[in-house]
Amino acid sequence: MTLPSSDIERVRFGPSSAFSAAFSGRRSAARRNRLLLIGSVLLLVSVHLLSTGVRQGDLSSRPRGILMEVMYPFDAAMARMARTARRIFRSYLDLVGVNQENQRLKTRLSQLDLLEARLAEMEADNQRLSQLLEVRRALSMNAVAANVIGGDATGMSRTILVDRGERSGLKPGLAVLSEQGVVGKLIAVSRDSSRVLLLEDHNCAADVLDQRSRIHAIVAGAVDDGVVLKYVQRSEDVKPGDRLVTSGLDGVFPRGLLVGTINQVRPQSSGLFLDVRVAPAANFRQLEQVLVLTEQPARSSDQN
Amino acid sequence: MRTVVLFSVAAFVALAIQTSLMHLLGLVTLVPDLMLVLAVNLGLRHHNLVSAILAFALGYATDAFSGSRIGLNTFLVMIVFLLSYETSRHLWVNNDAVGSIAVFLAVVFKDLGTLLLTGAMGDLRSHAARILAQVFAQALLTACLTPVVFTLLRRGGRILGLPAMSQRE
Repeated sequence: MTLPSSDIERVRFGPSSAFSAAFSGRRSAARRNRLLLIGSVLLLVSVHLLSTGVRQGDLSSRPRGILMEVMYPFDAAMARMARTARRIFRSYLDLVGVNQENQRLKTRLSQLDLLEARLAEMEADNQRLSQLLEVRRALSMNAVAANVIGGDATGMSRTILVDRGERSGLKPGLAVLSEQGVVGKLIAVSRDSSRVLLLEDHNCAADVLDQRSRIHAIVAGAVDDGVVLKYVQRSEDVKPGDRLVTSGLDGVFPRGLLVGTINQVRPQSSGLFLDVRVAPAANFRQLEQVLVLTEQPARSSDQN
Repeated sequence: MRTVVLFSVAAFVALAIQTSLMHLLGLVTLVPDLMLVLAVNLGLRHHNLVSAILAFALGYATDAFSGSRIGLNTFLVMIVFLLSYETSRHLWVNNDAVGSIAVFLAVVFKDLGTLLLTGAMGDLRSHAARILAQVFAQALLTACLTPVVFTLLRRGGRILGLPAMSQRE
């Protein structure tokens, strides 16, 4: 007669072993249930965070500020290191294949190249900052210049990190500009750094005015990495080449700032509106310095 | 405690790579979601209460450095963690290839979930090919990096004296 394997185990190890196996099974099931329970509770907490829309200053937004503060020195150091590496790489690019005879001269040359690259970089910085200063003067509003030190943590949103925060008088909702035009607005501010939601993000929008036809519309980011003009009816007068400027009605951007130029207009396959693509004035890929307005403009009345 | 230390360091490095390094390299749309890789690793290989709390923290940290809505990444990362955990209970996952497939699916799920929850499905309908290409490229890049991340986590765990894999239940 053959015994079932469980009975063999029981015979071999005795009843206490079967009891301990059953006990350990129950314990692991309890542990599994506990993990699923705590996981579900945390899932509900995240749903709560998502649905309530946490504001700056709320208790649940504080850890975000602390995280940004912790990461700030690291991000700033990496940005500095990358700029230095880029400078050195550019300077040494032409010096590949140096022979022994010219070593001394080449070393001297490379030092001069480094110096030149540094000077060129400083000159470019100077030029950008001067242009930002011009923008600031033209706006006659208080503003601070900030360096871009990081980007978005995922590929699905378009945000950047800048090295100015509460200590420079910044707060969420302020407008961010470059010498070329509108960049976006602040969404999170910590002591020394802030996160900017770029105009090309699909959650960012600005009220704009077509400079030629004076029609109002909303400029917003598109998910497929572009900027679009929303809610323009088929009958409205918009053409490729039209310049779009801020209307000042959204209370974030002052009136008259360049947002971009219309580069494509076509009717949507269905619906009432036109599909209008916009070439933004600011080059979001090459932002190094930006200007943050430290005060919000008064809502201008419509002066069509 | 050792798991917390390991994953805190890993999350710090992952965030630095995602926010600074990729941006400075000019890669803005193609950012590997290393934080999600960590969450999948937690779900597949660390079956305890601390791992659930760590997954929540990973999602929250991602929210601090991405997008405009707090809770969006937290919510999606928690779902990915729970799905990874359930997967690990039914499949043999002590293989980095399975981890890569899980991460690929997780990135696709999270990116499409982000579009859905931020109300961008209209854009998806009109520019589906381009958006899906971006999502799949990001998922593929992240999946390719998964074995490296898993190996580093294993080595880090060994240094800290963690067992190779938590006991299966």
